[in-house]
Amino acid sequence: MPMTYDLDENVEQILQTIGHNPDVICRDLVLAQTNIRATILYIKYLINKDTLNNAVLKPLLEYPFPRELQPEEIPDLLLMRVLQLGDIRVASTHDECVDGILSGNALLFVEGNNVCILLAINAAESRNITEPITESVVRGSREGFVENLETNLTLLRKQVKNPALTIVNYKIGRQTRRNLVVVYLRNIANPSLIEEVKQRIERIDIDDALESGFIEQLIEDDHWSPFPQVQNTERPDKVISAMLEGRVAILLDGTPFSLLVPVTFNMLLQSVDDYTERWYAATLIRIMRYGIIFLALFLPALYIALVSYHQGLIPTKLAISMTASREGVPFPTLIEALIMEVTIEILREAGIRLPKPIGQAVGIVGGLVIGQSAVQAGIVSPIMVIVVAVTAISSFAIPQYSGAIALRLLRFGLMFAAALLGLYGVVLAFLLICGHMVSLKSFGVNYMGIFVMLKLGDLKDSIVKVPYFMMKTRPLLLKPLNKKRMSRNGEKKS
Amino acid sequence: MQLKHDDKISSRQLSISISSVIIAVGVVTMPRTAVKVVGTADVWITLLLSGAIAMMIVYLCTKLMQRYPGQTFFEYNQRIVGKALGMLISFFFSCYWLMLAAYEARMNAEVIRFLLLERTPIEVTILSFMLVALYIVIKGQNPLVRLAHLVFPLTTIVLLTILLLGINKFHGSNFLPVASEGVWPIVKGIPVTSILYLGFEAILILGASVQDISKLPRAGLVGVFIPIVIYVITFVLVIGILSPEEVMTLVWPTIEVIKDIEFPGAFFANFEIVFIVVWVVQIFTTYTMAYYLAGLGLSHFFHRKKDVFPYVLLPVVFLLAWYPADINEAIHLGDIISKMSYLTAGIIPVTLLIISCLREGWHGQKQI
Repeated sequence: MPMTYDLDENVEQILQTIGHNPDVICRDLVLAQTNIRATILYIKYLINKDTLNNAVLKPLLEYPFPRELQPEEIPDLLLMRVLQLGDIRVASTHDECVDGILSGNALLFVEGNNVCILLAINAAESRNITEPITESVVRGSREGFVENLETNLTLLRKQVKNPALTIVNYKIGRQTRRNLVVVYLRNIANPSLIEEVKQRIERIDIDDALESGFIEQLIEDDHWSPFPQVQNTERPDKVISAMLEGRVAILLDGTPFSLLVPVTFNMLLQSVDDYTERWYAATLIRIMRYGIIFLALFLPALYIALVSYHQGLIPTKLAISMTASREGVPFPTLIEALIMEVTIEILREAGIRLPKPIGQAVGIVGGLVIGQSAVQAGIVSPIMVIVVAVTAISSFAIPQYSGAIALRLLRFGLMFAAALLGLYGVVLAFLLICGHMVSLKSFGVNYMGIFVMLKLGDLKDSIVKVPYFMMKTRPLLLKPLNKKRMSRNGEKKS
Repeated sequence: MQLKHDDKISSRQLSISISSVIIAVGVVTMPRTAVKVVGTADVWITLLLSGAIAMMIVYLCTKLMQRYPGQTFFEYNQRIVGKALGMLISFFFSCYWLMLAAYEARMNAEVIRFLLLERTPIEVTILSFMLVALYIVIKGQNPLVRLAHLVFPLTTIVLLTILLLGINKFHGSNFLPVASEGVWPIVKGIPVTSILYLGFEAILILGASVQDISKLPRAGLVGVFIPIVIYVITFVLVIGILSPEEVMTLVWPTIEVIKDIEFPGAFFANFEIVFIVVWVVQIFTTYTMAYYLAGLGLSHFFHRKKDVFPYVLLPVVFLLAWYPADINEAIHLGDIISKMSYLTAGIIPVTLLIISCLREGWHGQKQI
């Protein structure tokens, strides 16, 4: 809808669209030394009053405007000489104005003009940058993203002084028009990947995406899979290193969690500390994480299978002590395991929402008291408590929380498989999971890519992590435009 | 989308798929059968000989594939021998793959009954195995190839490591003197041991999706060579640890070897638990591939979409796998399959290659 030359009508149209709300301020004024009327329209909670007063109102009321001024000359004059602001745009349609005022601009209408000047004086209310709680590291940056998108982009821009850093803006949410940006390095990321990400984001049509978790679930490949097909992080350094691998980041206004696509299974087991510490330690920890996954998934199932079907396969001495400890336990192993697993899940759920000190108390009461009493009461065997505890600790040790959730879910399935068919059931369930994972894709990239495509270079940063001088290429699985990460000797070219 | 061009399989993936289709039931059953026929510990020579024959034939198969780039055997056989005969050949291949799948499912169930679940009805073991396989088969060829690629290195390494743990009971003297009863028993064993290598015909279909068709012969040869190495190591270890006479009396010699492993100082002595895991996984890759190929062949025969066949075949394969009354009948099923494999893996591809050469010339690759 275009605007008219009538000041009052323009203002009235805007007011009608956004409603006569108490926070909408309509400031009428007359340009200094003339009779030309102007109106500033803004939402008072969205703008910075000091900037409005000093950079906009003061010049308008004090600037010596020439007396015989034609109305159509005014916008240019304001832009060039009067307004003391950096970010100014001229809008010519009604919709642009509405968008502008709602995202924290002040609208300046001048009599006799069919354009509106958008003054970006939004107040950036933002939480302080703090250490990311869900992804602490021993050594590494202490900066974490915050809820404010601009702050987050500042963090990225500040660290990546690269002209190829590309930011594409989208509005998400039919009702809330939230800002979403896609960030990537255009000299590294594969264009077809970027195109796919953009297409999927453009397809989103939802009332509001409150958190990047909404976006994640709307753009993922397989909605039925338990595995996360998009990585989330609140660490700028993770986003930067992902972009350097040719991946694409998606940042949403209102959440500190950014999304990284595509993701492969091995990426869920990487942590920042792997790269800041020496590679021996990193490699050992990586291998241990794969062991941890194995424990978190299979330990209760294997225990159930061995105890209820194949006692003969347990080494004799262990079998004796296990049988002794199960003496008097009234339940079958599956029920026993389920009781303890569900208890752990309840404890975890109870602890999450409570304030930290109380949460810890719940953990102690739950973990120690219930475990101890359950054993003394003869409901569960001590070995089962050990099995469940080791499993729970293992699932906490997985770097990516969403990955750990997937394993938690699958663990219950495996326990039932073990109860039904013993070890054979566990193997079949394992094959089912493997079969699912090899057919899973994240934005066209094989989820188990580095293990099944066998580009040997990609294995340098998978189960092992080789020293940096050997990691000269980016992960080839992601098909980056620029494959070299380092020059031949890792030294700067002269 | 450009990123999707990995729908083609690399030659390395092809090699591993072929190897993993080949290595299956034979690891546990074959030492007995082979030693029975050959009568001495010279089975390993027989293995090498039949392996060499398999490599020759796989080479010819890949040459046939190279004449029709991008086409599967089911697609081009009609061009060579005409529509009716081609359809018949496709049908025969499908039946062969179907029976192979059923055989693998049954033998798997037999070993599970022997080692793990004595009292579970064999129907349950077979059916659960088939249902899990169905989930993967309906996802198509690429996930199958990737699955084989994912598990094959693990299974072979674990299998060989376990067998090597028994090396302290190894008696090299079991193999001496070499060829004590002459060459004839060794040669006589070749037809029997050839069943070990059946499965490489999969290259007639998988080879069509390979990225670089010029590498096809090499991929095929490597794919057969890996099983030869693994089989020879397994057989030498099994016969060396047990002695040929003992091998002949046992149903599952390989498993007996693993059961008897006592590694000094190790707290853990039940290596068959590890073996059984690896075994099921390895059978699974063979079974899924055979099942998939059977469905694909039938879809060409009936001119239907291939998506429905995995479901349709489920009861057929189940009945075939369930039908043998006991293990001996199941092994007999294996014998029938190995007889069929002379046709599918030997006579038919070679004949087709010859006819193709005669009709279109040695270099003739007339594209439609």
